[in-house]
Amino acid sequence: MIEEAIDNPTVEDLEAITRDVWESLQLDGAGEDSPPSSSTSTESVTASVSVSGDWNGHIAVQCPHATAQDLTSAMLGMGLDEIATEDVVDAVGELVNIIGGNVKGLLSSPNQLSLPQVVIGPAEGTHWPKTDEICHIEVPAARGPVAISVWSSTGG
Amino acid sequence: MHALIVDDSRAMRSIVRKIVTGLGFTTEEAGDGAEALAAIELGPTPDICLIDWNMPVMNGLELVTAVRSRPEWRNITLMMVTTESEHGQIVRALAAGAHEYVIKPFTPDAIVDKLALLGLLPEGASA
Repeated sequence: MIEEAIDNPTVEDLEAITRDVWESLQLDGAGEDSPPSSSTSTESVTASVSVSGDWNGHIAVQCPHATAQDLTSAMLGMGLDEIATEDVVDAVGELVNIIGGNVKGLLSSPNQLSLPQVVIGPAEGTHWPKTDEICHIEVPAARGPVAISVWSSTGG
Repeated sequence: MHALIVDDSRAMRSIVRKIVTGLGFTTEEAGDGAEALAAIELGPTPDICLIDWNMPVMNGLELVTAVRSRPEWRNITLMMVTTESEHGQIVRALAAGAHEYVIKPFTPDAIVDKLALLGLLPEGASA
């Protein structure tokens, strides 16, 4: 898909990319058969990629750890009891890599895409210094939503 | 037919593996370009390499260039399977010697169609 380059992605762009990713990776319905997650669990998974070049910023995917396990299970075709932490890191990292790569593809060239960074830890808001969040969407999921956001550098 | 799947994501290698083994390919996997080169050296020589672009150690474009520098590997078909969708990047990969280009996310049909275009569907498999 090659389209005219834009200055910044919109919510509609991010929704369209995410819809394509969810469809092709068959993530709709992930976790519907999973056991309820503990109400005390606050651990989340945050994955991000950075874009540098004509446009500078970050794309992030953040969700509860239980949801990340469900997405990983769907991507790998494995049961929840078979999934290791490294599988979650790999799968959610690839998810943000695909979304970030497609966001980058919409932007004015040339830009570089970083390798994914994945952090598992207490749920905290995603933020980078000297950036503005320009898009944010949430994809409903059985054990907690997946937040996808795009952050643009403010320079300086 | 033998396919070498080159991607730093185990999840993505698994997804591609399921598609091509379903078509009758035997498969081998590598987590980066350097591992892929070692696998090709060791053999068996793959009929096709399905190659991600952004990988640590040696990226997909470097792998394409390295494979194309070896005359004895000229029969290996190289297909990029990557999130790199900028027109300039696609041109760079094709100029370096890639035969086809699939942008993630993809459907299984997208891979099958490209393999059919390349005449690489094993006997009995259909697009």
